[in-house]
Amino acid sequence: MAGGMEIIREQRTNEVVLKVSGRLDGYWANHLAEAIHDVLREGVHKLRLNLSRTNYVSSAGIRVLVQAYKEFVGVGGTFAIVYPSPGVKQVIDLAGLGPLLFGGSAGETTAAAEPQAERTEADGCVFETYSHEPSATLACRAAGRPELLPNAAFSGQECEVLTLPKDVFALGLGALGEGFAACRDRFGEFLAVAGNAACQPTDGTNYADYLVASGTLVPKVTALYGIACRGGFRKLMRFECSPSGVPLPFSAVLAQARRHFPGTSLGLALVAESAGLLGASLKRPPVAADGGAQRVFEHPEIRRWLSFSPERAFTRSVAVIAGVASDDPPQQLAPLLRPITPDGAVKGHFHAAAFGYHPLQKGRIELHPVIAKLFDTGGLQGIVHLLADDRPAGGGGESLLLRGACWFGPIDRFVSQEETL
Amino acid sequence: MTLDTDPSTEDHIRLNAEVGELERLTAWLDGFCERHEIPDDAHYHLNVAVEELALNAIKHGRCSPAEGAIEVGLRLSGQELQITFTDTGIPFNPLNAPPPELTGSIADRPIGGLGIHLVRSLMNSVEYERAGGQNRLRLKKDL
Repeated sequence: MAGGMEIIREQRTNEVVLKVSGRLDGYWANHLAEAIHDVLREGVHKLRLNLSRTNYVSSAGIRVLVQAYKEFVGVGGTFAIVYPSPGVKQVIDLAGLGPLLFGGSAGETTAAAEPQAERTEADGCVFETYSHEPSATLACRAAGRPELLPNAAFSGQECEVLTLPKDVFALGLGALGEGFAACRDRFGEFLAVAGNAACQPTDGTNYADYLVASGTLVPKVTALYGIACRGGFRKLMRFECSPSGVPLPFSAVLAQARRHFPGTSLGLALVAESAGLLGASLKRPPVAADGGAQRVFEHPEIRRWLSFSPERAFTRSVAVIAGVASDDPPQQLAPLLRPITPDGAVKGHFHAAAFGYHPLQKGRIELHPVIAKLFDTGGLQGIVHLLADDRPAGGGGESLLLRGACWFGPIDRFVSQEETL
Repeated sequence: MTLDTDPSTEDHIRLNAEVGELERLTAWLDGFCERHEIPDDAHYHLNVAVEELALNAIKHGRCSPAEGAIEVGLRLSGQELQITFTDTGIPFNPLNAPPPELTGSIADRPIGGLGIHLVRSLMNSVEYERAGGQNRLRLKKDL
């Protein structure tokens, strides 16, 4: 009953086998938990644990096994223990878990109803696109006056309370709460998707805050400016870069989405495992102060105003990204869109909210439960305005993604600020 | 198999309330079992039960100070292994813990709560008392 643990990994065609030798106890259980999470992070959703040479398991070890089972089942995958040693089998049976954890088919989901996907390969990644809501469209509306940002000159006159039900996605500068006075010390980047609103406060706390739609509660954000889009998405595109292991630039995901609706403005919401986000966020609320005009984007003042690192942040996180892109922005949205591709042909505006790592289920999934699960489990790390910095020398590049799901569709209506969505 | 029936065949160990101490505990249990040729299945059950109690005290006992907060004693008496487990944590009688949910969908089961169930299942008797500011458990295992 010697101490220690050794884990040997076998890669098979569609699954991974981990052979675990030694003790699965309170001291070593986390070692196995990390190995299992590494498998999930690689996008492998079928795992067998060979415990023939595991000579000991305690409840701490069982906890890891049950957690793994739940995570694999949660993403539509398979998790099973094979060849348990007699002692391990006895303890797992005593815990009433034998019938569930031993064997080969536990947790396997059927794929009989899976609709056909259009499959393409590009940049070393695989893209599978499904019809989502075939007749859905999006209507978008700009709010506020973004031209006041360079001088941090916002006052109560420009701000607007945005109501954010489940069929709206929105982004901009704002704060949770109603009214300029209540929010003036906290205005920062916000992002709202599927009835969940998250804000990056600028009051020095640096802890992102969020509100989730529940019962009759619908999140509201007081926005200095922003874009809100209402409606549905026609397509769902899954992308996966595990064959190459090389992450995909966000603009490449966008290019694949735009291929389905060429020449139109596009709205999208995306959930993906991040290999690093390149973004910026405000450090201070950009509201009018007594000290005269500010120069937010000029050196050296920019350092006081913006948090930006040339290194990508939020690696090994899950990112929720939402925004709009267009190669011919309509008048209503033009002040809010900036070039986001190397040639400058496509303009857009995207914000990202980063969460702790959660594996994503493969195949055709729904936006609302995926987003709700991320917010439910906590772990919101921050919200940033995404940047694309393609200067040949010294440019930071752009955000990189490993795998994910992107819901997107055409924007067929632009609403003036005098109208409601 | 030879069982040592000398009543002096007992040993004890004092541990800090830290997860890192579990390896030392395991090595000590293994050493005792090998010296006294305890059968493999009883050896295994002893390991599971004592680790469960130790981990519970370390994680939830709020032992302060952590140094020397846990003491485990083993005594071989004929065909019976007697275990005492003492910790300076907050009062906790594991025998009052509700039984875990052992049936139904795994998705609906809470993770945890199994440790005490394993201790009660693997030992022949478990008694608890709170005395002198300590939790004291007396366990017996037939060999």
